[in-house]
Amino acid sequence: MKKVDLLLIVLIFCFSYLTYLRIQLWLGRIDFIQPTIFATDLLSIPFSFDKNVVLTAGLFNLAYLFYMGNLWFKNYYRYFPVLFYCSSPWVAYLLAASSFYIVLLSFTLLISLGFRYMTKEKSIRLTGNLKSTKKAYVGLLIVLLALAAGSYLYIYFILISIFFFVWLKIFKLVDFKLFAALFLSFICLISPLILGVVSNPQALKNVVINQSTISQDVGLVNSVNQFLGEASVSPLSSVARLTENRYLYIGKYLLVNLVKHFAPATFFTYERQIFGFSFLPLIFIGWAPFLICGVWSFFSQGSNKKYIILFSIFLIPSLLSLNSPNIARLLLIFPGLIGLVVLGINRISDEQTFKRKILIFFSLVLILAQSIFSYYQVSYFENVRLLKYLGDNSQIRIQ
Amino acid sequence: MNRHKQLIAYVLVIILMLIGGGLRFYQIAENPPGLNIDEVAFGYNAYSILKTGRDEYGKWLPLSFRSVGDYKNPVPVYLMSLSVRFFGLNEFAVRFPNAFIGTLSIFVFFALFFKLTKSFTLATIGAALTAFSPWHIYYSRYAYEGLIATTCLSLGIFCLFNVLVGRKLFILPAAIFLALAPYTYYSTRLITPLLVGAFLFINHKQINKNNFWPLLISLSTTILLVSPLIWSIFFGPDATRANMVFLGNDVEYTRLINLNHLIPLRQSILDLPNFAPVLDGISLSLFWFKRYINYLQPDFLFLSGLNMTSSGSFGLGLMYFFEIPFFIFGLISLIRKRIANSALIVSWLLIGLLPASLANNEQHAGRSLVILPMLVLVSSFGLFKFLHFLLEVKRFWIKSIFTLAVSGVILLSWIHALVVFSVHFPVEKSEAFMYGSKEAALYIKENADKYREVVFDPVRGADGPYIVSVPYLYTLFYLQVDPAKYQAAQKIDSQDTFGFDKYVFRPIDWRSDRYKKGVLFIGSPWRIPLQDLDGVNVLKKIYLKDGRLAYLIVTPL
Repeated sequence: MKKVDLLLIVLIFCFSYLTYLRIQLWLGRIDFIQPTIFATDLLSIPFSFDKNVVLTAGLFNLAYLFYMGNLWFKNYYRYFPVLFYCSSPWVAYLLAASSFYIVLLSFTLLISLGFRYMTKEKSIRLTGNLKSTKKAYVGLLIVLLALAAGSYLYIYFILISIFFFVWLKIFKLVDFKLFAALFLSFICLISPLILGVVSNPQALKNVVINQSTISQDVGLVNSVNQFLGEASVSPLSSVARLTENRYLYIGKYLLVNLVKHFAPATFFTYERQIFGFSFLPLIFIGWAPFLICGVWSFFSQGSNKKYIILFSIFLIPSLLSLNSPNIARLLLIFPGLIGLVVLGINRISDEQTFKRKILIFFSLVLILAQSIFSYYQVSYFENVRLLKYLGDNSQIRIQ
Repeated sequence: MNRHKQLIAYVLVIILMLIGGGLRFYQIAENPPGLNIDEVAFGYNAYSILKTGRDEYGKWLPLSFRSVGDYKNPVPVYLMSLSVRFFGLNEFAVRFPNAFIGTLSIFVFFALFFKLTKSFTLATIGAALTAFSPWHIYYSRYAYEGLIATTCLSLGIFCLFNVLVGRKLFILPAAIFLALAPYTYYSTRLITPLLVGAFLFINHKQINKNNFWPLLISLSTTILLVSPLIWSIFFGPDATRANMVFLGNDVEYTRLINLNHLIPLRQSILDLPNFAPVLDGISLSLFWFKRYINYLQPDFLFLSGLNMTSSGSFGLGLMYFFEIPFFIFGLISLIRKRIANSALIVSWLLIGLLPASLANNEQHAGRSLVILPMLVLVSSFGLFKFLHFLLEVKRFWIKSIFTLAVSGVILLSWIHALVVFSVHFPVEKSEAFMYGSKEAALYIKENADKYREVVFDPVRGADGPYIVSVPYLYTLFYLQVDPAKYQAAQKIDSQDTFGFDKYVFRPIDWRSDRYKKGVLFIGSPWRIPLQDLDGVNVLKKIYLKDGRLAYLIVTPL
C-alpha cells in the first residue's frame, strides 16, 4: 500500500473517530433504550448488545467497505465507500448511541456481498457445473446464513427473508430444486425460533405489536374520526363514507411513507432529525452528485426491476414504523445507497473530462466543508439542542 | 390523420374547459367561505381605481399598491377593476378574474404542452390533469395572483417558442406576456429572467439569422416594459418586502438552527469572530437547501400540501394521490430523457422553486404555483405511458383488471377531493378566510345609524387573539363606501387606532369600553369576555363554520 493511501485512511478514520468521540462525550449521559433482540424477547430474557459489540460491528463495516472499495475500483476511488460511511452523521450518531442497527447493518452488508457473488450467474442450478457457479453458491450461502442469523436478532429479518425467497422465485435466479433446498435449509436454521414462537405465541404477538409502531398512530385514527364527523352532517355523508375510512387512510399513509423513503430531503437534510433533536443531515450534500448520477445510471440500465424490489424489501421495517421513515431502521438500506454511490462514481469517472473532474473536486470540497461544519455543530450546537429537546428527561428510545 | 387527431384534441380541450370552468365557478362566492385579507384589499382597491383612478391612499394609477403590511402587484387590481365594473363590488367580482384565467389556462397549458412535446395525446392528457388538478382549482377559486402570473409566464414561453421558429406574429405577445408576469406576482420577478435565460441557453443552437432579430426585439421590448419595476426591485417596496420575507428571518432558523441567542457564547468559544459569518453562511445555505428540496416531499405533493384541512390530517396535496405512480414514471422518463425538451422542463422546475424556497415559511403551495405546468406535464407523461402500456396488453382480463383498478383509485381520489372542497375545507378553514367579517360588516351597514360610534377590534381568533385582521377594509368593501369620499375623509391614524367617519378600528379595552353608551362594539370573545357581559346588550354572536365563536356584537346599556 502506498504511503499516501495509508495517510488518507488514517485521516478519514481519525476525523470520523474524533467526531464520534465528541458526540459520545455528551451523548454519554443519555440512556438509550435499544430495541430488544427477537430471540431473547421470545424467551423473556432481557438482553441488549454491549457497547463494544456495536463498536466492533462498526469497525467491521469500515473494513468491509474498504475491502469492497478495493474490489470495485483500482484508483483513489477505492476510498469513496469508506469515506461515504465515515462522513455520515447518521452512522456516527447511531454508533455513539451504541445502536444495534449498526450490527444489523453488518448483516445487510454481508447480504449485499453474497448478493454480489450470486448475481454473477444469470440463474444458479443445483445440478449445474459446480466449478463455474462456485462463487454464486458461496454468495447464496452467505445470504442464507446472514438472513438466518439476522432473524434471531430482529423479527423483520424473517419478513425480509420471506420476501427474499419470493424474490428469488419471481426472478427465477435459482432453479426449483435449489430453491426448495434453500428454503428447507433456512427453515432448519431458524427452527429454534419457530419452536420458540410455537411454544409462546403471546410473546410473538407482543414483539409484533412493539415493533410495528404504525398501529400506535393515534393521530391517524383521530383524523379519520374528525373527517367522518364533519362529513356526517353534510349532504355528502354517504359518499364520504367511501373515502373517509381507516383502511384507505392507512393505505395512503403507507404509500406516501414509501415514497418518502426515496425523497432527497430524507437523506440530505435534517427532515428526519436524528434522535429527534439533531440538525445534521443523514448524508452530506457533497454525495448528492454521485447519488444522482448513480440513480441516473441505474434507471438508464435496461432491466433493473429486480434490484428495485430487492432494495425495497429492506425498507419494510422503516415503512411499518410510526413517523416513518424511521432513520434507525432505514440504516438497513445503507448498502443500497453505497451501491448507488459506486454506480455514480463509475458513471462520472468513465470519461475523464475536465467537467467531470471539476464535479468530483467540487463534491469533495463540499464533503470536506460540511464535515468541518458538522464538527463545529456537534461541538457547540447539538448539545444545546439536545438539552432543549430532552429537558429533564435523560432517555431516548431507539425504535 | 394528424389533422383528425388535432380536431379531436381541440374538441376534448373545449369540453375540458367547460368542465374545468364549472369546477372553478361553481359556488365561487360562497366557497372559500369568506374573502381573505388580500382579496378584500384587492377588491376595494379595484373599486377605488374604477371609480376614481386612484388607490385607497389616493395615488393615481399606481404600479405598486400600498396595502396593510405589504405592497400589492398592479395586474390583479386592474384586472379586478374590470370585473367589478361588470359584476359590482362583491365576492364574485373579486374572484372572477382568477376563475376565468384559471379556465383559460387549461387551453394555454395544452398549447404549451404541445409545443414542448409535439404530441396531441400528451398535451390533451396534460389539459385534463390541469382541468381536474386540485392545486389549480383551489387557486382559481379565490384571488391569488400566482395563478395569473403562471398563466402569463406559460403564454410568454409559448410565444417565445413560436418566435424561435420564425413566427414574427408572436414577437409582441411574447414581450407583453413575459412583462405581465413580473407585474402580477413577486416570485415571477426573479423567475422570468432566469427562465428566459435558461430558454435561450438551452435553445442557443437553434438561434440563427432568421430568428435572432425577432428574439432580440421581443426580449428588448420585455426589458423596456419591465424597466419601471427595476427601481422598485432594488430600492423600492420590493427590496423592503424581500428583506421582510427573507429566509434568514425564519423562526426555525434563528431559534433552533442558528441559535441566535448563543452568538456571543459561540464567538467567545471559537475566538475566531471573523470565522463566524462563514459558518453562518454555510448554515443558512444548508437551511435554504432543506427548504428547497422540501418542496419535493411526497406528503406536500400528494397528501396535504394545499393546507385545506387542519394540519396533520389527510387533506389534498398539490396532485392527486393516484398520480403518485404516474409522477414517478414521468420523473424516471425525464431522467432518461424520454421527454422532449426535458432540459427546459427540469430548468423550469428548478428555477420555479427558487423564490418560494428563499421565503421564510414552510412549503407554500401558492408560492410554488409557477411549477404547476411542469409537474402536470411530468405526471401526464407517466399517465400517457400507462395508457400506452394498457393498449399494448393483449390479454383482455389483465387489461380489464388494470383499467378497473386505476379507474377505481381515480374515482376515489375525486370523491375525496369533492368532500374536502365542499365539506372539510369550509369548516376547517373558515377562520383563515376571515369568516364572520362579512357578517359583522353587514350588521354595521344595517345598524350603524343607531350609534354615535362603531368600534371594530382588528384582533381576532377563536382559540386566542392570534389573527390581526383588516376590519376597516371589510367595512369599506361591504358598506361600499364611495372611494372618493373615503380618500377625502379625515382619518384617525395612530399606532393602534385607525378610523374614518364614525368607524374606529382599535383594540377594545373592555374594562373602560364597557361603560361607553351609544357605541357599537365588535370584537372577539378574547376582547369582550363572555363572563363579563352584565349591563351589556348582546346584539349578535357570529360563529365560525366549525361552531366556534368568532365575534360578539354588543352595546353597553
